[in-house]
Amino acid sequence: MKRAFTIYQNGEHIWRVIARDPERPDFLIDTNEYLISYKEKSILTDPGGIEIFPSVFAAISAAANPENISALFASHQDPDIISSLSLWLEFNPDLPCYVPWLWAGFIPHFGGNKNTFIPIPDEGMPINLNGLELRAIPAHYLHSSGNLNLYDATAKILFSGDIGAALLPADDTQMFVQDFDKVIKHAEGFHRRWMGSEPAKRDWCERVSKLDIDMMCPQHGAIFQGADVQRFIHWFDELKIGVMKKG
Amino acid sequence: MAAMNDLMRIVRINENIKTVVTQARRINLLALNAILLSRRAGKLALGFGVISDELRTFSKDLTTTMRVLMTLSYGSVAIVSQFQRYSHVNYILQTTEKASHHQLVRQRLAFSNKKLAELETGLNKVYQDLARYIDDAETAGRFGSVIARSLKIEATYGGGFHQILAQIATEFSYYIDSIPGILQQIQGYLKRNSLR
Ligand SMILES: [Fe+2]
Ligand SMILES: [Fe+2]
Repeated sequence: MKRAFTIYQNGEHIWRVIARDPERPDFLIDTNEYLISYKEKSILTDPGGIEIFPSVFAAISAAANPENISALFASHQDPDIISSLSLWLEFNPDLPCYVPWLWAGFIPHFGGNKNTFIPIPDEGMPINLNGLELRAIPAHYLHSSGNLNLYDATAKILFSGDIGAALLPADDTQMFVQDFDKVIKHAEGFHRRWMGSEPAKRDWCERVSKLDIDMMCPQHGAIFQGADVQRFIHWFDELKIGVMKKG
Repeated sequence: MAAMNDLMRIVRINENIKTVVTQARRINLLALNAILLSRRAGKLALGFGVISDELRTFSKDLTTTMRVLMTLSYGSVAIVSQFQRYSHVNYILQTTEKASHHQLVRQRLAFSNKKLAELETGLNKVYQDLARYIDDAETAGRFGSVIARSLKIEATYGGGFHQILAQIATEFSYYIDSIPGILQQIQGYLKRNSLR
């Protein structure tokens, strides 16, 4: 089963990661979900696939009250991001879901009605969590053509979705990146093949390097902290992407 | 607001259990305090010392019961969310079956029904266990109320420590009195729980 761990807390402002599951069957790619809470209300980022809903839900319930989740945030349209939507809506039919506008007509194939979705424009927008301002920031073509990150300027945490994702071996359960070079080896293939646009990547690196970030939290793999955040941005900036390995 | 669904109900049970666990933790701290204090009061508050030992035993037992309850309720959240997932599949299969009458769909539906029945059996077992431990907690709570009353009486014999002992006794009854209501709520949710 999955478990929730607190990665940041300042009073009633909490970030929790529903970390990778050591018992997960290996045909499913493992995911991290993040529960951002402020004064009792929470947003859940990339709630995950329908297969893992039970374990995500149980892990959240052990740490916080799932009734206090006031919105879902889907960085893009992938099944590992949001195919559990219909089950979340069965739990709470009024739960809104932030989505990139580009996918607003596609994600409803996973569930929801016309009141469920809050489309986010290409340039991003502020998201109010019970008085705390979060910001959806553009990360298009990385990898999805309509893709967003979520930045918490107060906690200095960037939820980076698939950017920074490392497909770590099953026995590697580190929550935070300990050895950058080792982790990045498991990230390289993924970034080369999945990330599609060189100019979009340049633009992202440019913008994100200027943000104040203590932690960069990807949807797969381990969390980058401190100097490793800029190290990652630099590495990504240099990486040649949108290429397929021959042979 | 829509009718309460199964997942919502188990979430409420879980939250209530968490509240009682928090109270149990506070009672534990308070009991430790009471013991230390009655030791300092010595001969002045012998009765208080005896009762606060009982208090300590009581709060330890309560904590143990609550720990079991936490584990059970965590398990049932997991089962109910599994159930939700299969019901969803079931719903889709049922709709498909109506439209196509295809044999394969019927087979899948039978399988999915079987899976749901299994989960239901598992869940009923967990609910029975939950109900039993809630009963235990209720009994413990009643015992706690008795201790609370005795503490209040003994506090009056505390001499110079009278005031602080009375304060502890009041705080203790405050925590202990909040428990039965929550446990009853849980029992209510458990009784109304049927998955279909
Ligand atoms: Fe993706
Ligand atoms: Fe992903």
